[in-house]
Amino acid sequence: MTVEADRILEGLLGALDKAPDGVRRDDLAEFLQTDAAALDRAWAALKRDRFEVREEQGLWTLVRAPDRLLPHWVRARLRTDRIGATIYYREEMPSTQDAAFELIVEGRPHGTLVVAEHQTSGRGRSGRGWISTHGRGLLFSIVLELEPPDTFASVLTVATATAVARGIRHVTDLPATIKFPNDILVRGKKVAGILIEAKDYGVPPPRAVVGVGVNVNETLEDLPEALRESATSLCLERRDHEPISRVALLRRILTELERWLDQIALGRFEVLDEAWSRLSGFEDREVVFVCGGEQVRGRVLEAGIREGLLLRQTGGTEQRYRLEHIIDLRVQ
Amino acid sequence: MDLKELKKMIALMNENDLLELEIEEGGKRLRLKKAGPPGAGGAVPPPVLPTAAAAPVAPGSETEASAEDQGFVTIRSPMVGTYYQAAAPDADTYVEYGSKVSAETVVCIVEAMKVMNEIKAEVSGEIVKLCVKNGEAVEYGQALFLVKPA
Repeated sequence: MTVEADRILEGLLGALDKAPDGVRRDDLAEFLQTDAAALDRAWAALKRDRFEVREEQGLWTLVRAPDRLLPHWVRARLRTDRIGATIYYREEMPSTQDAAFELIVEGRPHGTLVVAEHQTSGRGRSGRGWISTHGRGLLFSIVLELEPPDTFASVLTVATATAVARGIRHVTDLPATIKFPNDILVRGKKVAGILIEAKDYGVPPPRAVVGVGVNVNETLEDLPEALRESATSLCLERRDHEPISRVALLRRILTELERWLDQIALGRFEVLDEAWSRLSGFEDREVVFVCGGEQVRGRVLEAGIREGLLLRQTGGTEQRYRLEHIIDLRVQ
Repeated sequence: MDLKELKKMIALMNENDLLELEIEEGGKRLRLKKAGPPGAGGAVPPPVLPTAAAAPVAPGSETEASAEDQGFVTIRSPMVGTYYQAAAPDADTYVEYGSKVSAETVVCIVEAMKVMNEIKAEVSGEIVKLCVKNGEAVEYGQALFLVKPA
């Protein structure tokens, strides 16, 4: 599809989405600054993409949108500047993570989003698989610049985990929490995971790929039997088991992520630190973790990207630990 | 060497950010050393954050300096994290004492918040010293290995 056709399609969807009672076809042509033929082509494309649309006496109405992660549909109501400005979408791909790395080599910029309905060889950490059922989960990867390069892991992990947990809370009302560092839980069961990978291309600026996998509309049967005790989907956790719009969730997570990264770029860490600390259940709680091979225990007094964890330990001594040095953390 | 020549050399050093300049005229020995990132020659800024494992720069920092005088190259950690000598607890170590490495050889992993970073040697030669223990917390710029360049 050409850039112009994409623009019209995105604009058309945006306009229809905002007007549940319908929009006059003539007004649309004027609003989108295009001709009738181009508009008709966009209309036909919508139908092909399984959007349920109605045309009555020159009034166009969007009845129902498919819950597909189509770029023009995602972007139609996306309020971000850079995150998701370019979207690569396929029904199916081996791994959004690998595809994103290929796009880095091609020179794609910060914020490029890769999304698929289904991954045939999706991966989690250390080469573990990430199981997905077609059209049920939300799987995406984003190309991000590493800034600053020496502590990017804490910056990107904290920002992404907070964006995913808050996105889930906003769209579903479910009590999503962060399990340090990179899992998202609902009532103690895993609903989402984050995989951050960085490779050296020798071409500045250094970039990472942030991968997110959320179990959204999976049924119990969709989850591997071995994982049913420890994992769940957002839909399963809802009282009515009502399906959730993956498009709405994706838009919300992207918006959140951009907001947090902007704050970090401005040196404003406080609001993010506080949100992240609360979602991680750190506030005034005792934690146990490993640092440099030693077991550490203490009550959390402060938690943040730059400050790390400030603990009060036995005997009342206070000690700080960098987030990057913390392994196997458990909140007591 | 007269004062004029010396001044010329100092200017040369300033222009090119040289940390060291060694010249031996008769035997024709010349050795230049640049302040390369990250912080070669001990020019590492102190870590901003004090941590429990803040000791790690100590092991062999003195020998490190003298080792660099002997022409050894230091492989430093490009990030904050935990040092691992192998991809998994039961896997073979990437390198050991005496291993031959090239620029592209992965020498270890530095993990931070489950982000795995493969560290490359970026120099050809032989590992002559392992500066950190498996599982140790490392800081930005901390020495991980000494390499005798090939």
